Amino acid sequence: MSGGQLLGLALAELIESGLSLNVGTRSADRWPETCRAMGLRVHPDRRGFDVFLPVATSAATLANLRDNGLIAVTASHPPTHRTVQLKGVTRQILPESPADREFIAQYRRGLGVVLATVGIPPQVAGKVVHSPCWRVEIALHQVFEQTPGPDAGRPYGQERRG
Amino acid sequence: MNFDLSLYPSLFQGVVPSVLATCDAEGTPNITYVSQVHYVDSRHVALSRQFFNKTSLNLEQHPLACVELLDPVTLQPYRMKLRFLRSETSGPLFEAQSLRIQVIASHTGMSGIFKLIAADVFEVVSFEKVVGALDPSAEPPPLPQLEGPTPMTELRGLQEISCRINRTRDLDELLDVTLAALDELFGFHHAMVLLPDDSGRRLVTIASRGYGESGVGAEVELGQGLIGTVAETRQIIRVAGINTELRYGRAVRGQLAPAQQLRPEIPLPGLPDAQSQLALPLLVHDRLVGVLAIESRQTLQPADWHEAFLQVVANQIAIGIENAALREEPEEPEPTTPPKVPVAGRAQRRRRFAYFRHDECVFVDDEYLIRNVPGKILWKLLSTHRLEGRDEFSNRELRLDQGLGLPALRDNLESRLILLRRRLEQKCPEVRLVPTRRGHFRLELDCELDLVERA
Repeated sequence: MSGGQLLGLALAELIESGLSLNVGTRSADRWPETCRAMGLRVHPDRRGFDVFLPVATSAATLANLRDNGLIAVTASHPPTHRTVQLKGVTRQILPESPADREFIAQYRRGLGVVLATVGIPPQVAGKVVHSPCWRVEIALHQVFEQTPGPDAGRPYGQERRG
Repeated sequence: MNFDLSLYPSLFQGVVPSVLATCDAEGTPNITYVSQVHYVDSRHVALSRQFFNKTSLNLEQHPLACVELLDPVTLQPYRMKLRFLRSETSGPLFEAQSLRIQVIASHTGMSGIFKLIAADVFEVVSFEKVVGALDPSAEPPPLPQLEGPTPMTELRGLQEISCRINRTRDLDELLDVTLAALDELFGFHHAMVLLPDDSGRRLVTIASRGYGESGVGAEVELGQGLIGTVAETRQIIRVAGINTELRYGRAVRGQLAPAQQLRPEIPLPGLPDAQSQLALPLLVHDRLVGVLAIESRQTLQPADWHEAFLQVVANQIAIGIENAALREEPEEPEPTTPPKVPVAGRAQRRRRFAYFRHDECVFVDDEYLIRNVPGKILWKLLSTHRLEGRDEFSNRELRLDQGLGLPALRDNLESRLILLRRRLEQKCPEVRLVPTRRGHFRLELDCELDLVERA
């Protein structure tokens, strides 16, 4: 399962804590594709993670992952726009397990609390379909700072420019 | 493919950030947040570029992208496949995007640092609703109750507001009637009119509705925030989802190097929880005579179509201000208001007025009241009353008083008197300027005065 990059402990905790998640992939003919994700779980060795993609909305993304496996995931804290981007390669795509379902439900509750702070009511956030999901296992290759600003795109943890 | 982006205006307000996927020459995907996707026409959109980043590089290498937008009310996602066409660094599209960024930069203390580099224009190759993203069986979200008329009743409302404005007799009444009509006919409960002060560097609120006592007299620096930017650029600016934009601006601010000269964040004037703001320059020819600013707690109000009729209303206000500035009051021999009868035996409060010559400010009981020309006028009235016992005054004598520094043309005396009268109503209702006939007014006092002049 291991990739080439080790996720710091603090960052691992951060990205599991109710952030808004989005996935970027591309097709064989290099058309990019986006999809919302419904949870991110860091592997115990912190060199990979699982991301959960709703079956209902991820058909094109899944086709891309089966084609080339390349994936980028942003995790963003809506009240502050604090954002990181994880890049890696897909190892496995599996249907969600009962334990995954519980993890996704917990993620959804956490995100609902965060979204409420930016004015999105629970009854609106609660309508977003979160199950069933595919569990996509990813080997982590790179982590980038992605908070809006001049340093967006800088490898995470690298000193600031200027 | 058959689609028309003009049917989805709420997607392009920037209320909820969008996500943009690109890939580089090797095919590695990249995904990032964008604060707003701008509608260009039914088949084109634009993104603002404030920094050169991975997305910019990817688009130069490989001009294809995918963006997901969310409906701000329902969170229904829509996906667009985009083909990058060009970067614009001037022209109307660039200017419009640049203004919005200027407003956010100004509010978050990043003027001149956080700015638009280019407006990147894309052809929309496909547009689709993401089916299955929302649970149809879940409780439906409450639809926002947009107040005011629909576009179908816009013309009738405009006719009504125009008639009401036309019936007004002076600028004072025109301002009150206009703001009341915007509230009653169109549901804009929070609005203000600001005029440039004597320095030309600030705007002062002369009339407001929906802000309680804090409205009249509030000041905005030219170039600062939405209202100051509108005054400086003389362009209409509307910002929906102002909180989203400010959060985005603060995120950028947090990423900027400490060496960059950031200024303190300035509070927004008006509502602390405004969700959207619209400000229109009041222009006569190309000259700025004021700004009309409207705020709402509803994210999508004002809507696109409001801009057009508010522009017409703004033009009427501008003409009213200009007419008031140019009007010479004919002398009328008979007073129309009976002289005030003093109330016998009532204990009178003492109010202490202090005039600071250095910055032409008047304080009442140690609280700021007014400054510049309106301040000098008040001091002249109070001093004359003290020295000569006179309480009847005319606009003509104020105009002839060299010490007040009124310009020969367009002296805006009437608007300055309105501001003074309203500030007194708020801060010192025992001192009143009561119009008696055209061009004449009486100083009425229900208090004892202490006058102190300081350097």
